[in-house]
Amino acid sequence: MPATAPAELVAPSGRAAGLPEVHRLGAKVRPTSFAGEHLLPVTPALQEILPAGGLQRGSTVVVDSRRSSGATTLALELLAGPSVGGYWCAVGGASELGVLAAAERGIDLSRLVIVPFLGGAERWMQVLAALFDSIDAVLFAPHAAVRPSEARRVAARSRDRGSVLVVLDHQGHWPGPSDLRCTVTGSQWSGLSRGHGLLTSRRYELEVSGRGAAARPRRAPLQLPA
Amino acid sequence: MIRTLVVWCPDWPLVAGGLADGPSAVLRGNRVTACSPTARSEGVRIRQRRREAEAACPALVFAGEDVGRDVRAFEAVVSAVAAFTPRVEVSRPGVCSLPAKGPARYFGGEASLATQLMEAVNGTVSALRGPPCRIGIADSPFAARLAAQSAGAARRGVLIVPPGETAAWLADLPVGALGRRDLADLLNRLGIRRIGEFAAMDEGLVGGRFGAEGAEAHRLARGLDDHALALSDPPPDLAVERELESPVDQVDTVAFIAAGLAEELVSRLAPHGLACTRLLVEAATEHAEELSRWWRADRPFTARAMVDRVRWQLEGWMSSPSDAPSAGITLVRLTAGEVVPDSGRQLGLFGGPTEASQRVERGIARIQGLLGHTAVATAVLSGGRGPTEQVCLIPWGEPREEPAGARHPWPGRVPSPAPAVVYADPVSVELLSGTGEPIGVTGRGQLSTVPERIRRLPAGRPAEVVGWAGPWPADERWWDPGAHRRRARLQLLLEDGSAHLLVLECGHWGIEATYD
Repeated sequence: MPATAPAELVAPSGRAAGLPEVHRLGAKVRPTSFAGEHLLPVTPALQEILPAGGLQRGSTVVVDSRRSSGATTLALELLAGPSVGGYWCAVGGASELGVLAAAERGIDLSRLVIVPFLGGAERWMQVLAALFDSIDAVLFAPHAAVRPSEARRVAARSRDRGSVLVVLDHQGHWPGPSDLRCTVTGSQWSGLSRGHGLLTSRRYELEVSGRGAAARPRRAPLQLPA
Repeated sequence: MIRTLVVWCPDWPLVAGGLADGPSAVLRGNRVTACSPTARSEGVRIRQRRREAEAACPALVFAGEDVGRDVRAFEAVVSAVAAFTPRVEVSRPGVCSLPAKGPARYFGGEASLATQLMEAVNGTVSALRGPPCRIGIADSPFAARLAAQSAGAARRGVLIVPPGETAAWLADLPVGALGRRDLADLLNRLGIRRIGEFAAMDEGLVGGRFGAEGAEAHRLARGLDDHALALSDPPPDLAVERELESPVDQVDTVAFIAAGLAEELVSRLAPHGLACTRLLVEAATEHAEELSRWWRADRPFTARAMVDRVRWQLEGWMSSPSDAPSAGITLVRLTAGEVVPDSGRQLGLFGGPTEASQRVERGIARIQGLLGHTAVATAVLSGGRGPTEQVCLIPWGEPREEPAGARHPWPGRVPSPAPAVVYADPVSVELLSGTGEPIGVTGRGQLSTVPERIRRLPAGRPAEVVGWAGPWPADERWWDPGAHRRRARLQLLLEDGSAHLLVLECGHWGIEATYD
């Protein structure tokens, strides 16, 4: 019975408990996959919120925080999954990013490339292009308004190279295309009150919209740190 | 067999650091890597922990390890030696060697050459208040190095092993002198205590029992050259060079260009299965000034190690008081002087450079080319209380070392979660009570009264405070008047749902970070 042998090898105690594990391992070692399955892993908290259950390679994800605070933590959470999974991450242009917060979210600092300042008007696109060539997930925080044509070129480059572009958009600088848009519509801290307690965790109200499967906007709650 | 002369300047890291004449030691990662004679006589030993060394000699002065500084200082010695022969090789800062045969004939014999060299080098070293150098001559570079180290004051700093007697001279030394600690330990336990006894063993059997490393040690023990010679035909073109269109006067930029050259040289050798153990670095300026130096390494040079040599050499040249170049660099050339079969780094199944990390290195090199060497950073966690102090950004390519104290407890540190946005300079604000009085922190580390409103300075709308925690007082470096800072931090939650980390210093509140 060759078909059942591997399952017994992995989980001799109980087949029912072992099978999901085998599927998971099988998915990891599978040699080929369809384009739609080229996903970077995400943290468990985000798995249910993202329509594909992961970050599609080559896609552009915009984190929009014009309506409420909390976008930076959400963007770091988006990078944490790939970083934990062994992929490389980069941060471009976010000179005020709290790297300690990134480490706390689970991002491996030895596999995080930080380019605090992307350079002037001409350089930033070249730098982003070089990042897409080598790095799997790139967080980009535009400091000035990006022209629609530039945004299209940047997104096209990331799609071409199969790396995920996460745009952290505080002021509506990113005009252009996004495969997925996570808008923070509300966030509320818990744990801290007048003179006692500490900031412990924050509850987000998210609106996720995008293309294809995500065309209809979805509202979802999220707790970070979970 | 190459008759070799080795010049050894003892305790070089201390001489370069200007600490040679007192009890002093150089530390790397809390371990002593070099110590002065005074410290040694007090019981300080290499590889000791800092605390043990301090216990042995309380007056000990410490300096950090800095190879760049050592090499820059050593450049003066190399220049003095280069006046005798251009074929000087720097093994490491403090040790350089030259083939003795030609210069000995010219300067009237080996003894006379050694005396004259000693005079020239001591002139330079005494300017740095260092101890006199020592010189050894023998039939192999390895034996010459040992001879230099054995040339004590009794021999007036010079030890010449007559031609053909190297093996006999080595025979009396303990096996530990071979410089391979594990092997020496094993040989001692097998009852083989002298190099001569080891050398008398059969070469094939030694190779079979102790592997490539043992066979190499056996060659050294028999007084042969460090590397087996003429193992394969060297590839025809062992030099790579780049002419720069515009002169460059920054070492970082030249080092960046050299990185490309080094990669090219290594990849040119690699298809032949070769690696380079001796490297000639040449640089020329716009005014046709030239500096070329030979560098030797025990292990084959990696591309990174080649770039380090280029950087050291140029830093030494540019900072030398007498013959610093007068114009920018226009040419860099790397030549592999001696090649050996590359026994290779076996890529690990886990860890080691993977294809992905090599791809990342290439991408980053391109960005560094666009924006400059320091524009790309990697982060390590370091000790400290505030969100800025707990992270240390290191330019990509520099060693990624975790600073001391990163994992120690830091009382007064604000607990996690850490703020996701950290401002370079705190944003000035005013924290007010219900009656509009400014709020301070008392000497007991308590808020003077309940905060109700916060207002951005100079002009901003007041926002209502709905929650706060703290303060966390931090009285740092009170023992050092120059670096003393007294601060207090406060977590603050505002009515719009945003949370901030406030810091109070010298009576002024500022938003240090935001929990975004």
